[in-house]
Amino acid sequence: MLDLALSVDLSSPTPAYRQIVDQFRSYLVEGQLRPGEALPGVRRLAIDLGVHFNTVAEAYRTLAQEGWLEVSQGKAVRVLDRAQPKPNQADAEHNFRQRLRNLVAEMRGHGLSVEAVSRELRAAAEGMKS
Amino acid sequence: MNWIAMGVLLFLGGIFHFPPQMSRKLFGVPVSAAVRESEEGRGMVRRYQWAIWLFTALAMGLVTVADRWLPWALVAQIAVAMALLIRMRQQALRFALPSDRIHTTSLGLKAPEIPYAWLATAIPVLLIAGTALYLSQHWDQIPQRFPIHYNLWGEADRWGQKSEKLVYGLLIFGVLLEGLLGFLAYGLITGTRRVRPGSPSLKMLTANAILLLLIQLHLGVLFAYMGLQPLMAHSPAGWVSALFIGVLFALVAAFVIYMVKLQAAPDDSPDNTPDATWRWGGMVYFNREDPALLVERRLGIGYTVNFGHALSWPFIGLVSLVTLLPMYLFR
Repeated sequence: MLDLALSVDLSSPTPAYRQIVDQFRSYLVEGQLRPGEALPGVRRLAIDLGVHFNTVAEAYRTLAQEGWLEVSQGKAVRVLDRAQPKPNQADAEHNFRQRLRNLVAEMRGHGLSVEAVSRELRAAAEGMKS
Repeated sequence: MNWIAMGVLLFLGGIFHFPPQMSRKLFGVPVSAAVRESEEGRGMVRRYQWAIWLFTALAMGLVTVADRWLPWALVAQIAVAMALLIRMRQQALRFALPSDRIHTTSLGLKAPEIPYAWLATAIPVLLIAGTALYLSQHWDQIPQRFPIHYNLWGEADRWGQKSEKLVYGLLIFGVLLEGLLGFLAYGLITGTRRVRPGSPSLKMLTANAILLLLIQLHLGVLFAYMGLQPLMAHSPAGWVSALFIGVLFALVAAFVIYMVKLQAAPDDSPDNTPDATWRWGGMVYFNREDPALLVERRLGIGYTVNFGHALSWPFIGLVSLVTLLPMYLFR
């Protein structure tokens, strides 16, 4: 397995499980974690990160619901060969647009110019081309 | 002058002198290397060590006046050293890295790999069980009175009357001790955070686990041999005791030297333990949120139990049993 870093900021307002989900999802979308690869079990990852079992279990459950992982009792957690999701889901698009607006507002609030925000968003999207 | 008492006080002084120098942390607080090497960081360690030796000298002075004050001098020396450690830790917290709330890991980390580690528990337990079986089959040959305690030179200095408690007691104690060491070795291999391959932390973890496994094997042979004493006409030769004790000391000494060397090596392995979860001046780790059973010590060398872990209770129970059982068996 690649030497992929994971981190959890316990002082962040974002729940720890959500931070884990976001990082795994980035690796999955970028193709750094490939279908069939085994991930550390819930207990192992919780010990390594120094967070509660439930935090990691919740993160894996969320990723499994999104179709990225296969999580079953007594078996290794594996990356699934996920079918490309359909882009024309109105609710999902609305949801993403809302989250994107919040993120852009936060970036602007931190003093980033409109050009810098556009550049960052483009770079992030380009980086996840698969 | 009581030279033994002086030696004990000096030894304790040394024990409290060295820990701040043997750690990559400053009094158990993760700080940057720049802080540790700064004039202020070095000054804190210097002030602490001066205070330790000042109070050690006072304790030695107390014992010079009257031998009977030795217990009080020891208690005072330990209490003052603890208070100093707690005080210095509070000062060091000002320089704590903010990263103690940011836990990191990597998906490519490794746990110590020790093939057939279970044999280090299984072999001693089988040896001890074999001894018990042999004793039961030769019960009639055990004399009514046999030695139950030996001094450092292997000479019997206490005897007991033949009974099942006395004949098998040492073996039961041996099995419990093996269980405790096995529990710790298993905890080190499976219940600690994985670390970067080749890092000093992984070497430290592996060395700790190997030391425990070797001690298990060593004690297994010792208990099996000592368990046969009721059947032996003579007490063990002096060289036998010297060999057992010498091997044990050599193992521990080699381990301590290796660990001190590793502690000095730079290592970026994450600690992943918030400062607030270290209690009693950074000596006791209590974190219910952390599923790790054992974590690297922040003060001194080696690992410590996470007392917030559910398995720490059976561990405390086993330690209490191993401590109290000899008092019941051989009183």
